[in-house]
Amino acid sequence: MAEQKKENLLEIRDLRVQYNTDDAVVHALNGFSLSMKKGENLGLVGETGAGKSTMALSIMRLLPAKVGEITGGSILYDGIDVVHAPESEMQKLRGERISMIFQDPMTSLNPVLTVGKQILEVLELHFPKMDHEEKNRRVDKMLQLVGISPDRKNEYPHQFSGGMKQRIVIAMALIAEPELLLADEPTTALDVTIQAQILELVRGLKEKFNTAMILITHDLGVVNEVCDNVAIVYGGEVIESGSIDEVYSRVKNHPYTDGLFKSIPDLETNAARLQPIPGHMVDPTNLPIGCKFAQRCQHCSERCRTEAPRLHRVNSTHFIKCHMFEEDTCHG
Amino acid sequence: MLGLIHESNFQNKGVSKVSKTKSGVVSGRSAWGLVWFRFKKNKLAMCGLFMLAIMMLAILLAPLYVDYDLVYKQRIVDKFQAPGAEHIFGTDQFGRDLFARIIYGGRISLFVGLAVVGISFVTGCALGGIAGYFGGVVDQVIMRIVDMFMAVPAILLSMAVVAALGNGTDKMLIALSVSQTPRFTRVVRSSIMTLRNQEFVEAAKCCGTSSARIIFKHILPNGIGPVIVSATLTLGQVILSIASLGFLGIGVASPTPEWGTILSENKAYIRYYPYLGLLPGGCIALSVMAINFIGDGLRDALDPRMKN
Amino acid sequence: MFKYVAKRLLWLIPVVIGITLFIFVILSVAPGDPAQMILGMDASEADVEKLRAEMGLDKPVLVQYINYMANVLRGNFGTSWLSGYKVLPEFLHRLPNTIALGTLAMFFAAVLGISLGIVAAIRQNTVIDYFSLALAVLLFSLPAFWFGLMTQILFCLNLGWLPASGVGSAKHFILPALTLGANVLASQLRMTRTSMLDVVKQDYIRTARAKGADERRVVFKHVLRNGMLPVVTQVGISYASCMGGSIVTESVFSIPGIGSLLINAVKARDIPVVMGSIIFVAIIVGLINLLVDLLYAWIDPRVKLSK
Repeated sequence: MAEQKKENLLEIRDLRVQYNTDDAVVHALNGFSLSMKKGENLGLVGETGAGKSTMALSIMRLLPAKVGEITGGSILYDGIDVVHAPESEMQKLRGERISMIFQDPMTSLNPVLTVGKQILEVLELHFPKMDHEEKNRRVDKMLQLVGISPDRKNEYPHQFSGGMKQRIVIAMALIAEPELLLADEPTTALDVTIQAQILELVRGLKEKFNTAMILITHDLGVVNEVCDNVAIVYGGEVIESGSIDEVYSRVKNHPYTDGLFKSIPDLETNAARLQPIPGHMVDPTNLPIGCKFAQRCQHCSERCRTEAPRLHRVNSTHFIKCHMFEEDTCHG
Repeated sequence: MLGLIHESNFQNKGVSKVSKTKSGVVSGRSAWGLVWFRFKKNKLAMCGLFMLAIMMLAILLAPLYVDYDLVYKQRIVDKFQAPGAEHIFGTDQFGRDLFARIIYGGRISLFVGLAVVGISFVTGCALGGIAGYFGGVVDQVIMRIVDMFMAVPAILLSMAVVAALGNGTDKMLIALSVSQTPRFTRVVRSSIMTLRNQEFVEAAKCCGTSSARIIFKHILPNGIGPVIVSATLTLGQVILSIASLGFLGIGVASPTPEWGTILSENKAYIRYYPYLGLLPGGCIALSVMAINFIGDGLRDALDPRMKN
Repeated sequence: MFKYVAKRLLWLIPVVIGITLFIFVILSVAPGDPAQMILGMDASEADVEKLRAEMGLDKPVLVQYINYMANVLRGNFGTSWLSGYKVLPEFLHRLPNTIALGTLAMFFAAVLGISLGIVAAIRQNTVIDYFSLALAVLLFSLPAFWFGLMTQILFCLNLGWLPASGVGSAKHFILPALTLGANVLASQLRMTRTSMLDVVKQDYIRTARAKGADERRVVFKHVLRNGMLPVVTQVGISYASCMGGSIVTESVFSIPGIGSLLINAVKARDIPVVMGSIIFVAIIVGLINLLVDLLYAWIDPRVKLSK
C-alpha cells in the first residue's frame, strides 16, 4: 500500500464535499475515491450533477467560498495534503503544477484584459525571475502551439470566437507546463466540428509536455479516444473504475455503466431503439441510505435500498461498487 | 434590465423550495404567492413594512385622536415646550403642538408622494408599454422625448414646472409627476423589450393569441416586477423631494404643515431646541428608510438570483 | 471618435429646445399674468398692458419662444423679471461656486463611496460590511437639507469648527460638499459592493484563482476593473443629481450659486432666470455624461463609440 501511494501523483480518499445553500445542503461528493499516476490519462464520466466538476474544484481547492465545504476525506497531491495545506502553498500549486480548463470558454476569460496579458499572468505569478523578453517569447510560442497568431495577443476576449477562446484558455493552462491538467468538459460549449479540433489539440499538447490529465466529460466516446483509464461517477462517488479495455469490453460493468453504454446512439449497428436509463439523477439534497443508483436499477434488491455497496475488486485494476459483484472480490 | 423574471423560473424555484421546507407549504402556489413567501423571510423588509404600516395608520386615523384645530392653534405662552406629557412632541415658536403638525403634515408627505408615484406609474406604464410593444418610430419618438426630460435633474425640472404653473400643493404634485414619468417609461420599456422576444411570448403569438391578451396575460405579469420595485424606491425619493421643496418654500407653503415646511419654519430655533429638528427630520428619514427596505426586499424576492 | 463626440454635442440642441419649449407652453396655459405679478395687484390696467407689450407677452407663445431662443443664441438670456439683473452675467458670476460645490461633492462621494463599497465587498458579512451598509441606508434615507442643517448647527454654530455659511475659503465648502454628496455616496457604495460581489462570482475570477493568483491580485487586477464598470456609468447620473441637489444645499449654507438664485426665481415665477438655469444645467450635465461615456469606452474594451 505504502509503495503504491508513493508513485501516485494524486490520491483522493473518501472525499466528502457539500454545498450549504440557503435552501438546502447539497451533498455533492459522498466518499469519492480516486488515484492516478504521473502521466496518466483518466476519463471521468457521469451525468450533469454527478459531482465531476466539484471533484476538479476540490483538487484545486477552489470550491465556492463559504458555500462549498470539504467535510471529510483527504486529497494527497504528490505528498501535499490539499485539504489542509496553507493557502500560499495552494497558490504555488495552482497554475504551475495543476491547471484547469473550464467548461465555458465564453465566460472564463477576463473581458477587460488582453488575451496576451492573461496568458502572461501565469508566468508572472510562477516565474517572477524570468526576464520579460523570455516571458513574451514563451507566450508567443504558446499561442502558436494552440493555433493562434501571436499578432493577436493584444486583442480582447470578445474579439475571438468560442473555439478560439478555448484555445486561449488551453494556452493559459499549459504555459507553465503543469504535471496535471484538469479538463472540465472542455468541448461541451463548442460546435461539434470544433470539439474534435480542441480535443486533438489538448491530446497533442499534453503528450508534448508529458502532462497527466483528468478529462471530465459525459461522452464515453471521447474517453475511449483520449484516455487510458476511466472512472464512472454517480451521486458523488466513483461507482466503477478501470482501464479503458476492461470497462469498454463490457464483460463486467456496474448497471449504471451498462445503462450509459446502452444509451449511446451507434451509427454503425443502427439499433432500432436507444435504451435510456429510466428515472432521474439522485437528489443530492436527499440521498438514500443504500445504493444511490437503486431507484433506477433493474437489478435492485431489498439489500440495495438499505445497505450501501462497497467497492469490489474485479481484478487488480478494475473496481465496481455494486452488491452484484461481491463474489468477485479478490482478497489479497 | 437585470430584474427580469420568468414565470417558469418562479415555478422551478418554488417547487424545489417547497419540497425542501417542511413548514406545511402547499406546492403550486402562484408566482406572487412565492414573492410574498420570500419577502416574508427578509427581516429588514418586514421591519420596513411594519414601520410604514404603523405610520400610515397613525396618519390616516389622525382625526380620531388628534384634534385638527391643534395644527394651527397658537398659544405663545406655551412656546418651545419640550416634549412631555402635555405635548408629546413639544411645541414650536408659536406654541403650536408639534405632534399634531407632524401627524397632519404626514398626510401631504405620504399621500402626495403616493399620488405622484401612482400618476407617474400609470403614465409611465402606458408610454413605456406603447414604446416597448410597438417599437419602430413610435418607440423612437417616445424615447427621445424621455431622454430629453432626463437630461435635466428631476428636482430642477420639478422646480421649473412649479415656476411655470405657480406655487401650490397641487402644482407641486403635477410637477413631481412630470419629472418622475420618464424614469418609469424607461423601466417599463426595457422590461417589455426583453420580454417581447422571449420564447413564451413567441409561443403565445404562434397560438394566435391577440395583442391585448399577450400584453395583459403574458407580458404584464412577467414584466411588472422591476417596475414595482422601481416604484417603491421612487416613492422614497419623492417623499424626500416633497420635503426638500417644502423646506425651500416651493410647493407646500407655511403655515400648511408638511415635514419640510415644519423644519423650515423652525430652522432658526433648532440650535436651541434640537427636538424641533430631530422629530420632523426623523419622521422623514424613518418613512423613507422603511420604504427603501420594502423596495430592496421586493427586489430580492422578485429576483432571488440578484441576492448576494 | 470625433464623429461620436460631435453627434453627442449636437444632440444637446434638441434637448435644450425641447425642455425650454415645454416650460414655455406650460407657462402660457397656466393662470396668472407675470406682468401683473411684477407690478403688483393694485397696478393700473394700462401700466400692466404696457409692461406686457414690453416683455413681449402680448404675442403668441410660439413667437415669444422664437424671440427668446433667438436672443439666447446671441448670448442674451434676458433680464430677471424680479430684480432686473442680466441673467447671463449673473450666472457666469455664480456658476463657479455651483460647479465647485458639485464637483467637490461628487469627488468626495465617489472616493469614499467606492472605497467603502470595495472594502464592504471584500469583507462581506463582517462588521465593516454591516457598518457600510447601515451608513448607506442612513445616508440614502436622510433628506439632504436636514443633514446639512443639523451638521451646520453641530459643527459650525455649536462647536465653531467650520464657517456656517457663504463662500471664501476651502473650509466653507467642506460641510456643503458632505451634505450634497451624502446621497450619492450611499448609492455609489451600494452599487460598488453589489457589482464587486457579482463579479467575484464570475467564471473568469475562478480562472484567475486557478492560475495561482493570490487574493490581493484577484481583487485588484481582476475584480476591481470589471466591478467598476457599472459604477462608472452611474457617475454621470450622480453628477446630474449633484447639480440638482446643489439647489437645496446652496440654500442651507447660503452659497451664492445658481441654485440659491433659482429658488427665489421659482417662487416669483421669474421665468428668464428659470429658463436660463435649465439651459445651463442641461448643457453641463450633457457634457459630463459625454465625458463619462468616453471614460467608459476607455475602460471597457467591449464598448465601441458608435450608434
